[in-house]
Amino acid sequence: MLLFLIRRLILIIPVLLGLLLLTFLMLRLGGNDPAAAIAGDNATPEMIERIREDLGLNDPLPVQFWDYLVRAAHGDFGVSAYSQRPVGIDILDRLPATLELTIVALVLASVLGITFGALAGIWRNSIFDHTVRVVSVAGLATASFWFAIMLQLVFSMGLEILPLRGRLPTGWTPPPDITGLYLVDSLVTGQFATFWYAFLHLVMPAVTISLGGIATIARFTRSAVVAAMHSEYAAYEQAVGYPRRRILMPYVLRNSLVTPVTQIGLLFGAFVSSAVAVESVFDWPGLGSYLVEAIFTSDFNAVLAVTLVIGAIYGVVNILVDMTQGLLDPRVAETM
Amino acid sequence: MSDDILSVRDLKLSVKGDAGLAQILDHVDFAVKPGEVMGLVGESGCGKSTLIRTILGLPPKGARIDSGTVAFRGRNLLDPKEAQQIRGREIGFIPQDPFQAFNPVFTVGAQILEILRWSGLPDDPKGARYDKSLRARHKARLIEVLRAVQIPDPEEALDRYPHQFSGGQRQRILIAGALATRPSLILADEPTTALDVTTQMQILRLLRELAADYNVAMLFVTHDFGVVAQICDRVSVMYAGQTVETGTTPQIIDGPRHPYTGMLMACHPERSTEITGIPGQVSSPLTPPPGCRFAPRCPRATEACTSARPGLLNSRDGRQLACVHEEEFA
Ligand SMILES: Nc1ncnc2c1ncn2[C@@H]1O[C@H](COP(=O)(O)OP(=O)(O)OP(=O)(O)O)[C@@H](O)[C@H]1O
Ligand SMILES: [Mg+2]
Repeated sequence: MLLFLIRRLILIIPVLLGLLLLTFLMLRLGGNDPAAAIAGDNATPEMIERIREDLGLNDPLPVQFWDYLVRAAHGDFGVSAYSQRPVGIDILDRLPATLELTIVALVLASVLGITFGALAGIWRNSIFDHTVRVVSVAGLATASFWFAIMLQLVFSMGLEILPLRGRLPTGWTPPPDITGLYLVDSLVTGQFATFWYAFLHLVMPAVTISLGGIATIARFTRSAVVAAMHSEYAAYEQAVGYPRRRILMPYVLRNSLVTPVTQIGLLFGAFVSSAVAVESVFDWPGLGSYLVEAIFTSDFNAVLAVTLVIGAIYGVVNILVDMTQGLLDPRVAETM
Repeated sequence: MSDDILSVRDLKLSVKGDAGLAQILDHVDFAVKPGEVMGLVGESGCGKSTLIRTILGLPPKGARIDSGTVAFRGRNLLDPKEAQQIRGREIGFIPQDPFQAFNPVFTVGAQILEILRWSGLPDDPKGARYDKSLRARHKARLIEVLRAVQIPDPEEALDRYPHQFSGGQRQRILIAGALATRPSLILADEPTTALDVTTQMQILRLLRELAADYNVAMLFVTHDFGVVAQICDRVSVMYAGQTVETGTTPQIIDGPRHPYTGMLMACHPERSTEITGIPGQVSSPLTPPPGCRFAPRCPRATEACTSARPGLLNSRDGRQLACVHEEEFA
């Protein structure tokens, strides 16, 4: 298991290098000049040329990429053209907001998706099952930014029960920075009002991001549960006198989790990309909205570093998923 | 008669499906005595598994009992509540396919202990809660039966997963699961068909020994007369959901009297030099022929065969037989 972990962690490195190279090339060949972005609107051509020289933008591309890698390996991701601060600091500021949002969305998608899917499978062809199916199809077909705006219209502007944007009410002091996750930090320091507000602010963006995930996980769980209930082992368990509820829980259910858990790992990628749009709609101060700003302002250093961080998170999440599968299925564990 | 451990009388069962009403069992009738191994023989699709599940109180979904009784020591197995009390506890079960019968993500120990948990042992303290000490009792019993089915190192085997055992070993563990609760009857649905020939032989020998050692009666489903000869005291032959002939193993094997029994036995490669087979096809349970269901394929069929279903009559030599042509000998 430990060897598996180390091997998988090492394997992330070439993936990240490839991802960086691809992003780097697209940015450089895209035609936008980062030097102009840094210099600002009133810069003279000489100033821009000097910045180009300073940044090494006149070097051959391979040299530039190599220099970037060397600096990045030392933790130096350059300065953001937009915020004028080190990109690393910007990311550290923004990462917890995105982590909190995607983790809550992932938990929401897993819990709801597995619950709805399992019940739909157990009560196959019931009204509940049909409802879950119809809602799933709708959920998968819904564009997340559209859904986000609808939520805002109904719950913020119409009913006024959920806040429109941000992580906390304007002017509210954030909890002490322990993990950067407001829910956790406010809870451990006993600031329950802050916790409640942080929670309210999370609801709509998290629901928006998890929407497609709930649907996917529910569908995979349902078919796994149906297959398991019609399996030979379920028939055997019945024949030797297990009570029905025992067959369902844990025997059928545990077996049915293996497939949806794989899906959860794959979904995380979709979650992060959906977070980019959703964070902008909800003004969520995370990496997604940072990335959007960075792209619009040709802030190359920021784009590269965010890509790197998102890629690394994706890799780690998938290792975690594989390890969960190992816990669920001994046959998988043996291959680790 | 009343000393039968299991009696199936006149059982008629049909299932309503999309294609119509399937008359799967039509007057199945036989009994098993304590300690005896009863074979249940018939071609694929004749309703053997359906019968076994019905005896366990688990008829197929949408099934209707049109007539008949199924009783375990006089207790009604067609009553779901009663059957739930009996299966696992007093009737053990050995499935057909040891590769499919285990849940792959739980240890074999957990799965067999679960049987003991819900069925208990006859000598468990009355009304005891399922706690550590009861579980330890069950575990000790399980290790004992695992040893009896010759699983090496049974303590360690409990913590292993199904895929870590060979098919033969898995079937041994399932046999242990059937024996663990000290049932007086075991239903075995073709327990060796999924195994290779050598393993089949070993499992059969083991089952024969265990049935004798534990004095447990067994209803043994097979379509193989070679297996019948090896292990069964008596045998009941089914064709397309009807019981056609029941007798002692020597009676049936050495002197089959129902035309179907004889033809089925002739199909067995070890008993004939050429592959004969029975001409024609088994009728569909959706459109069973009237009267004797074998009549359309039977060389001796006459008008009498299709006018009414021949009753299962006691023959003078002690066997039961459902054939109008043999009735004069009864
Ligand atoms: N739920 C059901 N609805 C309708 N027909 C069914 C159903 N289950 C089984 N059958 C039919 O009932 C008949 C008996 O099936 P069963 O599985 O009991 O046969 P079997 O003797 O055990 O065969 P095998 O030797 O292949 O195991 C078959 O014709 C099958 O197609
Ligand atoms: Mg069968």
